[in-house]
Amino acid sequence: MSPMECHPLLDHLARPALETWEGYRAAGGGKAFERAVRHSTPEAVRADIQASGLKGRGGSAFPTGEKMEAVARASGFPRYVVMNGEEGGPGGFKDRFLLEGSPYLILEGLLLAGYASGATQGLCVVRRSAPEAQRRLRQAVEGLRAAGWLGANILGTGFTFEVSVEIGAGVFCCGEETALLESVQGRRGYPRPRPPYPSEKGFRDCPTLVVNVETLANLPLIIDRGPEWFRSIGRADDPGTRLWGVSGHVRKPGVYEAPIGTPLAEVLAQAGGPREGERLAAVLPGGAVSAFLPAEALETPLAADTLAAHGGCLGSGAIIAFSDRCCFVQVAQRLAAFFEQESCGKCTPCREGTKKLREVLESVSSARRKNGGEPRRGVGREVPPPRPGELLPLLIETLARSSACGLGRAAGTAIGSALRLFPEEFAAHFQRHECPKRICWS
Amino acid sequence: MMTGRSGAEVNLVLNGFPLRVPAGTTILEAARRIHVTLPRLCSLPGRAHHGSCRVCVVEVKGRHELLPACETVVTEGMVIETNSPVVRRTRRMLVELLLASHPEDCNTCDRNRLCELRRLAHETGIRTRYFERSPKEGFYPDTSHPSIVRDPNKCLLCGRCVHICREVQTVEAIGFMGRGGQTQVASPFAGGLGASPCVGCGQCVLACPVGALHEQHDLDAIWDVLADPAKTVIAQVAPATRVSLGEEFDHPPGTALTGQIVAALRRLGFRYVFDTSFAADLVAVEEGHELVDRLQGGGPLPLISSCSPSLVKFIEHFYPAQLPHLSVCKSPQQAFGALAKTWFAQRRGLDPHRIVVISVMPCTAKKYEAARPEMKRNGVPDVDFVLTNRELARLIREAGIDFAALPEEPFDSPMGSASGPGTLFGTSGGMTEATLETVRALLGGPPPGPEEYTPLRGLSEVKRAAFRLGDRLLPVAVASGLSNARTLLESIRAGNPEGLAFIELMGCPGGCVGGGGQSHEASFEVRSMRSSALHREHRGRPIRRPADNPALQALYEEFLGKPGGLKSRDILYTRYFPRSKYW
Ligand SMILES: Cc1cc2nc3c(=O)[nH]c(=O)nc-3n(C[C@H](O)[C@H](O)[C@H](O)COP(=O)(O)O)c2cc1C
Ligand code: SF4
Ligand code: SF4
Ligand code: FES
Repeated sequence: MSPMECHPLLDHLARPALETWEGYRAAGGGKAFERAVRHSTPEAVRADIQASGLKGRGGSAFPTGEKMEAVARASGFPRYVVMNGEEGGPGGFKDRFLLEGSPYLILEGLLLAGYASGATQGLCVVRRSAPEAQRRLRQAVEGLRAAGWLGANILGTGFTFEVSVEIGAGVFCCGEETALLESVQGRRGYPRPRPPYPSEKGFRDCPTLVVNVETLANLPLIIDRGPEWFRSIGRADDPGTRLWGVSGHVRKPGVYEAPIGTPLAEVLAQAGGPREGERLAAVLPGGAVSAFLPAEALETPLAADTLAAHGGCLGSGAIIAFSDRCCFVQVAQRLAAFFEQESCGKCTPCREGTKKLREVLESVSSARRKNGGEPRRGVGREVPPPRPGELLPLLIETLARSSACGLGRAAGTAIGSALRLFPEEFAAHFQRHECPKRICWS
Repeated sequence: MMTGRSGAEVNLVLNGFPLRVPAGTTILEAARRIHVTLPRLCSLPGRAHHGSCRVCVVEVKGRHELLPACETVVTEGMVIETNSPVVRRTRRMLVELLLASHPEDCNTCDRNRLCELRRLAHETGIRTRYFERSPKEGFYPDTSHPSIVRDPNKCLLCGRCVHICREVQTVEAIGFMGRGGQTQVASPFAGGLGASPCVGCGQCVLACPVGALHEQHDLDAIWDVLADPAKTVIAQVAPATRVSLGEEFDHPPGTALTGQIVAALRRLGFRYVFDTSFAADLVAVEEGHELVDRLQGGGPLPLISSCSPSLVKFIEHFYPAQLPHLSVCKSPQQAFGALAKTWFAQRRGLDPHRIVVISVMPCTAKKYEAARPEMKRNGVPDVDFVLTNRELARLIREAGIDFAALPEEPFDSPMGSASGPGTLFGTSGGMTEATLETVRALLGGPPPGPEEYTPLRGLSEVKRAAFRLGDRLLPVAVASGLSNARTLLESIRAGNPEGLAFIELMGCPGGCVGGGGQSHEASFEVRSMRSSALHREHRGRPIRRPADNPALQALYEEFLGKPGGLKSRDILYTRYFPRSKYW
């Protein structure tokens, strides 16, 4: 079986009328939670999830079972489960796809997560710019309540669980878990230092499981089909499939599913490959927080260790393809502008560094050429300032090593990898304000 | 920050030196033990505010990220480098980044002499500028408040002011707004400080590392009136100023330089130089009578002193229902101004319109107080201008006066003498001593024992004591800093379960010795040194009771009649207005 034929989540999503309770039940939904809450214990559910080896799909790739253990063992009450559907990165749309496609599946995952970690309240934070997802999820919450699956004494088992749907702050930096928690509590979306981790002190300072939408979607499947089934897919150290949100210069952008470890080229082929008359020059697997893979490395398996060898990560599963018609100085500049805009503004390296990253990259664009070749900065200075080519790596290092949260730390990763992959292209801009591809005029 | 189990210790290696420190120590504190001071910007010693500027980052073996020394607690076996190449590179880059969006107007900046960013640039070895400067766009200085000016262009977003305003003063007049490069510190709905509940205490000014916050300047207008021969310019000097102005001229904190300040003001062209402590004596007598009157059923108890304008505005915004507790008497600054333009003007045959009263105060809120509309008689303000200590120092420097070499000169009479307690108004608890001395005189009782007032002294948060005066036991409480004031105000709101009769509340931590118009150093130690100096001055004064001040007795004989009399009501009493919590 080709890896592209293993897609349990998409199989589920292909079932009809999933946005209704009846349709969801008809598709076999609800079995996992019903069995767990009637016949199993929270410990057993946690054990199953631990055994499945499921890792978080939100970006940190932390074992979900361990996080549940930590919440279940933490002192403090009540405990909360917070669904992270902020999904603010470029090329991020797979969580919205899941929420719109099968809201009951996510809620079943939430119920399972709540049951397993001893929580009594779930908060679903949905991206601000996804009103349809919010609407369907709200409807599903009502549907669940009508079916007696929410509230006190669910299905007569004594398990109590409430769910509310919250609209996210609408910014990338509030996807980071501590900033997310601040923002849903009505405070400014600044991250705070960890430890203490949310599993000890999260929402309202109570133990909180922060978990991604896709992570939740996997829970009913794991409990229903068993951890062995899950472990049989993907890699031994990181089992299961992932949803890949493919965007950029491919013929059929969209959400695809494939086991972890599938070569990038296969996912790209599924998305139709490069567009008419184009070649792929590089791909960002994992989204803006990852590193570019050059065209020669498209056979790289989509897994944490193989991507790490290129300086990247799986991130949230966004795959952005760039054709040979891109000027990578311009791409880098756009990436910098994204991080500049999305920085929460708390810490110096990210707030100021992303701005400088963008400015330095803009200053070398060929559009600036009329200002007269070499920048005049530093002329006649006793100690000459570093040139752009020296400045960028320094800036990226500062971002990566001194930022307060993951946003700032990742802000220079992709740009740094572009610098390494396309040295001539950057050098032409740096030294002669010249775009070898004649692209970045503006 | 020190959260570790008491007694437990951890071992670490810092820059190659093995070290054993109590659990809970931060890397910053640990470094200090081997006499290494790490740069810092956003963290406030002893307060839970840190972690945003990142200039204190250090390398910890086994960690890829550099960790902020100010908030990272050491753990067993940590190996730390504070000067490795990557740390120095990063630190320098961070300061470069701060410099890159900072306006280059050091020469004209309020903080020219004492800027933490300039010091950081020096201490991180910056010798060239990495980036073209790109100023922030669309940021405008906020000059809407009568006391405080904020210039977001100079702001480093360290958040120290926000923390102080929220946690120490519980006013929350400022907070962060916008994100990324658009982040700025702003008042609610970006409506300007003047339209916010900002009480003008100036604690944020003391907290700011750079010139992004400073007082409204009145220097040029003051030069103008000093040069105007038609004007009689009168100065009044607050008690706390005389033990701290020296700091602006490199004297240690707590050096009393009263005579030199008088001499400097005369050389600047002030016609008369008076002592605000004289008006403090007056206020102590008036408030003492008000308290006795209320004890006999003439008004709500406890009586709250009204000397601190930031506190008055705080109550107007946050505790409007408690306004009747405030003493109706003006503050010493305003009482002085009112008398200068009535009694003193009459005595010397001067036209009140041609008298200019300029206060020298360790306070920014006094600027706001002087501008309050009810602080005027017939269109003539009681006080025309207020100078902070920092501004007076600038005036002295601009005039080229060699402050250190000045002789000591006495205040002018009649408003130049004060009792011992009158000088204590400048520090937390002093106002209560002075008022109680008046009450003691009215209700009868032996002079205070040597230790009797000790519980009211010092800079602890809320001080409580009970005094037996005549046949009554008077429970009193003293608090300084608005979070502490809030504690007592909440207690009044809850029906005054402690049965307090009198409360002294001061807006600034420690009272005027911690005022927002003081030199920028505001540590507990510095405030204590200033406070001790006032107590030394108090001990040296022969007059022990405000009411025994002969100049004050002359004032009552010639002009006011009796305390609380018609004339006092007319000239010395004021009003308060309920205000909203949000603007
Ligand atoms: C800048 C930044 C943005 C993030 N955005 C998201 C997001 O949009 N959705 C998400 O699930 N996790 C996001 N994360 C990861 C979360 O911090 C957290 O690890 C995750 O929600 C945990 O869920 P998981 O264990 O199921 O992955 C982000 C992290 C960072 C640093
Ligand atoms: S790295 Fe710093 S500024 Fe950037 S989002 Fe995180 S905390 Fe905010
Ligand atoms: S105004 Fe001053 S204290 Fe406030 S954040 Fe800016 S630099 Fe810091
Ligand atoms: S002083 Fe440590 S982060 Fe600012």
